[in-house]
Amino acid sequence: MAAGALLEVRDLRVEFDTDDGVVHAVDGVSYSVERGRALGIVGESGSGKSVSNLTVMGLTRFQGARISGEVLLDGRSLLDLPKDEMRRIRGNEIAMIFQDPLSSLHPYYRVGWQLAEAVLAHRDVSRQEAANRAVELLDMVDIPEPRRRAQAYPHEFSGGMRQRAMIAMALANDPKVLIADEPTTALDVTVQAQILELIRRLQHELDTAVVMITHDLGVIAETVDDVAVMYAGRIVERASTATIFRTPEHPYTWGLLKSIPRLDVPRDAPLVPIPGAPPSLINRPSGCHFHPRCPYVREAHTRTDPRLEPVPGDPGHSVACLLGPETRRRIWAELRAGLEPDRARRAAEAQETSA
Amino acid sequence: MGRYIVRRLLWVVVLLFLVSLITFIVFYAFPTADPAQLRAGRQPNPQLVEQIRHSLGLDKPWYVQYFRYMKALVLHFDFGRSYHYNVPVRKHILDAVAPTASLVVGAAVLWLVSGIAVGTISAVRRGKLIDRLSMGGALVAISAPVYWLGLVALYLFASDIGKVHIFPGAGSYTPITDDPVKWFTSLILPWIVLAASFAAFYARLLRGNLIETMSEDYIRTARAKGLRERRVVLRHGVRSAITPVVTAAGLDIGILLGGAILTEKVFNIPGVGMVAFDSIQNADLPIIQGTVLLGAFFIVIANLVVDVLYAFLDPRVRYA
Amino acid sequence: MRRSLWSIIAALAVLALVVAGCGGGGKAKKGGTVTILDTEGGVDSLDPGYWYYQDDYKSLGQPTQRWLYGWKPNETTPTPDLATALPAVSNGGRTITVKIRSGIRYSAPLQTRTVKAADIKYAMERCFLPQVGNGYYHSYYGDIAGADAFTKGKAKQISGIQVPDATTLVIKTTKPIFVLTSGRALGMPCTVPIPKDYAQKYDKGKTSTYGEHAVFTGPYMVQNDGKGNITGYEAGKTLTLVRNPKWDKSTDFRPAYFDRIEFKGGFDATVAARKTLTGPRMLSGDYAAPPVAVLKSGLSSRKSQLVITPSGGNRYIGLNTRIKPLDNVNVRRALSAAIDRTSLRQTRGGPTIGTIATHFFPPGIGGFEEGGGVQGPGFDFASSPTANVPLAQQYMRKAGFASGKYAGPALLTFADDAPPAKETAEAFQSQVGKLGFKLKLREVPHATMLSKYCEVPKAAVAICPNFGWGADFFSPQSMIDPLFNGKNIVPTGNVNTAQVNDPKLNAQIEKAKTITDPAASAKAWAALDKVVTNQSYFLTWIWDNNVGLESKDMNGVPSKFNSGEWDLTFSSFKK
Repeated sequence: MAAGALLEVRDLRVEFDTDDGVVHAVDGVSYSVERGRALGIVGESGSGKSVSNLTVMGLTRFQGARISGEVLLDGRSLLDLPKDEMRRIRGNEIAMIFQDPLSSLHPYYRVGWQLAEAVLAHRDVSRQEAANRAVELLDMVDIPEPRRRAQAYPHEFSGGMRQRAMIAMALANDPKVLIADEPTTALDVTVQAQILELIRRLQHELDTAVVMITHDLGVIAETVDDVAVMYAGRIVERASTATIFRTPEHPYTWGLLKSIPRLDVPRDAPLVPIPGAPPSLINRPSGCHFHPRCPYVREAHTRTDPRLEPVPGDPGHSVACLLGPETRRRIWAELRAGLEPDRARRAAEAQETSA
Repeated sequence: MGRYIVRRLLWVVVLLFLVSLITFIVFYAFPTADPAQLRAGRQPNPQLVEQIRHSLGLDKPWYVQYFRYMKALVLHFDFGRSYHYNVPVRKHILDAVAPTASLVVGAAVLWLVSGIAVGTISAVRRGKLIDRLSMGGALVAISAPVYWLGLVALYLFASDIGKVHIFPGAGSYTPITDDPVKWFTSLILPWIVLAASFAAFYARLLRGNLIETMSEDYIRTARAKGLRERRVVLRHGVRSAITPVVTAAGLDIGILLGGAILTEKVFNIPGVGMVAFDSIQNADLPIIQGTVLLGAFFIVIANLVVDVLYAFLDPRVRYA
Repeated sequence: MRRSLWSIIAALAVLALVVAGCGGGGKAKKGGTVTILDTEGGVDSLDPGYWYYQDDYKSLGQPTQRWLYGWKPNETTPTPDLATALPAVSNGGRTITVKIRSGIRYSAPLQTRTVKAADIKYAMERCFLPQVGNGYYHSYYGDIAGADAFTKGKAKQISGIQVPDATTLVIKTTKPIFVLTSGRALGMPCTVPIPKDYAQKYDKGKTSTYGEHAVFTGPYMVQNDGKGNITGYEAGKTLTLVRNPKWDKSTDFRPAYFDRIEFKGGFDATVAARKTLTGPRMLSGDYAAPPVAVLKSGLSSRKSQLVITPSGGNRYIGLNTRIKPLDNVNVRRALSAAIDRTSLRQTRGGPTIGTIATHFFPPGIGGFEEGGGVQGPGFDFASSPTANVPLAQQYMRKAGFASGKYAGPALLTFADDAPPAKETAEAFQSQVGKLGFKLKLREVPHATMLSKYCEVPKAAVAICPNFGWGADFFSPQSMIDPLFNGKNIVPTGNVNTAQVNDPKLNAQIEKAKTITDPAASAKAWAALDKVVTNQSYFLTWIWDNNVGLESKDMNGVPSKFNSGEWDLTFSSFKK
């Protein structure tokens, strides 16, 4: 077990049976988070980022999933636990917040009541004490006039306040791990910043381990220490935040980075989207799952499945790609200089043959 | 909210006026039979029929008749006299309200409790045997004609004509003030018969709503909070899914209060339904008018109650 | 001498036993409460002046009131009730004198008064008032002197009804009227005494409210508060009769065994019939025969609980002679030959329901035997219990349809939509289909069928299959006059549905009304029976039976006068 790791996921696989076939939602994912640190998980929809975390919470059991692998919380295996024990951990030691706080809060119950309910589920306290704690929590997330606000219904809050309330609800029982699934996607940009700031502050104050799931690299840059990039149910690259932005080594990560508008390139430089669409998780492409969309694909890549391996010289940085490290660095250099992928590829190939 | 209710009540009055006018015109223009001739009895001579027609005011144009009717109603709350029985309409119909109310409210309690219970269990155990059995049974109950169901119930369980002598037979209804025990036992079979198809319908309704509700995001949140599954289903799931069920029940009760004709007829409960049915057979316009107005009143009030109730059930709903 | 004395004593003893038996002391138990289950709303009115249907007579007319002349269950001639004897006739049949018993008391609140002749005069007069709504005053009392002036409002009372003293009633008519001279038309509820000073205030206004305040002379009364307000009647739901404390049994031919009679309305017919059979303490209610299914099961397992009595009425299919081709007598005869009376009877439950008819008059009517009795007059188109299609086709040819079949447009037909009448109409439809007749058959509720279509000449309905007729007090006049006399065609409530208006027939009817000699009268009406059967205005298919149901512990006694319905003053529990 990695030293100090609070949450550790090892070779997690999650499958669902559907009428169209077996969906391989999560296909051998491993990561870990330490106390007080934040891990970002990036990917498109369908990459498996949400499903893997729902599985950590034990929520996919409700949908009839087939799960294998290991999930350890402070050394304890969660996947083996009976339903009732998992329930005691959920919302207590591990908590999760979701994307749309309006639909994620029950519309018919007051906010304070819903917070108190989270407390009462795991603590043997009186209703009054739970209600007081609810007000305390609202205050902690900077909601003004918390006692009055606790009597309001979710639809009476603004978007930002709702998400704060959800965060407060997740933190009600001082969880060791907080999983945030796209917490700012449904919010205005200005509010986004506030929410991320809040999560960051609480992470440090309460020493909580945070898993931040997002498709937005801007969020990654602001808030997390480490990043795992997921594609088609697998992690394709893992590194520290700084490394991911400076020296990414996976074609998918390059594509993500290149498709963000940047201030430090000419205005008329074109955005480079990743061609194609995410693959079906039922019938995945052969060999490297990314190959149909990869501008640098070679014939061998359609037959061989890459494994996640450390990059030479940086043990904290792993990549799953069949291109050699030299080729990858070369391509990234070209891309960073502003070349289009096609030209970057040819430049790299030229170099290979000449080497 | 207060202003809203007052406004709605004013509309109730307008609506009832309209209903009374339309009923009047319909039965005047398309009478099912000739009340003067029916009143004149067997083999009357035409002179007599015409005299009766005149004394009942039936020889006047419809708007004159309507005006007279409304005048008596508004000034004296007098609904006229029955053509057939020559008794005051108001008392004749109001006497029938208590039995209908006993029948309907009891059946409503029964169908709501059983419908919600079955619907919840079916939704939670979707696809399993109990779900299939319940929904299959529900389909049968909805399809069974009420009258037939009532007769079968009597032929099986009535203490006078049934195979097994458990419940009092048809015609045993007694007012609760006379004999509470007999009132209760005489209504058990009618309650079951009337509730059957509604319970089935509500079970299916709730099941559908609950299945949809359980896929909502706030259910995921509730589970993520680590709540017991039972609490998630009942406090979070059913609490949301039940709103359309409650409003539908309010409307159904409103309609039935105007007379559950078939159930009343087969069990011989002297309610508004029997009175209405009887009056149509006899072309007894004053009573027809009275029962229609009563029925319309209940429906309109039920609508209002349901709308107000909705605001209490769903805090997002606000009335200006 | 001794021997003859013993034989006299023995004879007397036997006589006494027989008399006791006849008095009903044999099988009958005094006392008890009987319940009668009705399907419809029960009686139409508590006002004696209104009563004309069997249900009114059974539930109220016979048990709660004494009439000038009453009817014992088994007899076809009237029995003096308030009268002391049959009427004395004078002045060539134009003056009728009736003596009234003295000392017959009213119930509370008039318990100190006794019945006077003036009370009967008022009762008969009020039958002419529209606010009372009587249906037969015109046919039977229309020829009383001064009736016309009273109807027109020119007189305040009928001059031809006179009360020379408190116990004498004299009726003067403009011409001799057999139904009055025989006392029969005085055996009707219009002769139920009603004191004018008590009732007049209720007879004002659009509809009389006397019924709600009625006083009673019979063995029973509707439960009331003793102050003139009826408490035992909920319109359409319940009616309760209790013993009338002021009734004097020694002055009455009725034994009145029950202590209490309760009517409950609104039942489903099958449920009510079954309840009555399983009982206890019940008699059947307002249906002349139980639903077919119950009848069948009753016949197989509870035969002793079925009381079958000829109702004195018939059932027929009415043909409108104003609509082609029904205006042709041979077409009508063809239809009569084509129908299958046995299978029509089957739709109502089979042989128990009645006897196949061979002519219009049913058994029990004066003139029935003279008209041919059970065999009938022998017309070939009316003599076969099953269909005789070849004969029918013969008549069609005689009518001018060479093919023996009808090829014209469909005939408008209105039938009752409730079983078994519905089934009868549909059977009829398929039977006449064999002769090529197509029917535009519309099934509607009973009241609609009568008051909107079949009894309204303007509606121009060709065929009404669900009709029947019963005589009033066995009188052949009441079988013929309302149905076939042209002057009785009226715009609404018309029962001359064939719309027959033959001057010769009309004259023959008017003449027969005036014949006061019973034998001659019977012959005259029998001749008319023959005429209408020959003309086949109506297709008479059955002489009806009344099938009453009684619980095992009951001894129900049917009344011949009231079409076989129960006479509740003679019925009782079994000993």
